[in-house]
Amino acid sequence: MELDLPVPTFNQESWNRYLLLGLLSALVPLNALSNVELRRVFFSLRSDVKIPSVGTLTNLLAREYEMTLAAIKEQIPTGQKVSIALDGWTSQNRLAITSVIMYFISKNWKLEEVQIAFEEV
Amino acid sequence: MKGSHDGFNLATHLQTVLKRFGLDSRQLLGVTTDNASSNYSMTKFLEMLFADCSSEWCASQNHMPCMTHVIQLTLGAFMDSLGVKGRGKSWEDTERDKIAGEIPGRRSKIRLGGARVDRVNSLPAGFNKIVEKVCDLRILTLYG
Repeated sequence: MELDLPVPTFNQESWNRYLLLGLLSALVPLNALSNVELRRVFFSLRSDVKIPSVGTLTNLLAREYEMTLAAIKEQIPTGQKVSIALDGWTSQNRLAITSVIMYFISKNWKLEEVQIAFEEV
Repeated sequence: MKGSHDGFNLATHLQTVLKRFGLDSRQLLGVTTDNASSNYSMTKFLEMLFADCSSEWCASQNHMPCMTHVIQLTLGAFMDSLGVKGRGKSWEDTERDKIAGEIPGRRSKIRLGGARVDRVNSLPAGFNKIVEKVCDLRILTLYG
């Protein structure tokens, strides 16, 4: 399977970020990193790699959230009108969830659609 | 947000979400929801909350009930009155199973679900015939 994402040269800091994004998008819990077989996979690719702790990744996740939030804010032109659509439902594991989607016209006149909330209420 | 999912709690939650993105009522145009009554009281409370911050936002003018939801309700009532039922699983159930299948460790559960149903098969039996009949009727009234 081809990878259509840019692959920069190794750098511990960006590797930590890719690791976090990878675990999240594959729906793998962060504590999977304590698994010895998985650690061996990483060490076999690069012996000097430092596998971050769950705490480090949690902090990184908070930073990633702030960055994404700022990026979305930046996308909205100043004073631009936005519309929202929202719905709530109860998941199969009995969590009440509300999701909010925001729509707006970007600087170059394109209709943008951003999810701004997906929260347990 | 904790507590009951009434209009007031939903409105305060929505306000915090909007604040987080630096949005105020002057920037808010439409709010689209389904037709649940709590959503109507939610937009009314939102109007009040905005009024407290001395900015104007009119619930009755800016609240848009979701058109697709209205169509779904109409179709549901239409099919109920004809007594037609879905042949397979509903579209939502099929999608849910698909998602469950993508989560590792839940695969066994979906095999119990029985035969795979795709979207076309989940159309109710005789639905196409009804559509044809309705179309014929329209053609008759137009040209007949």
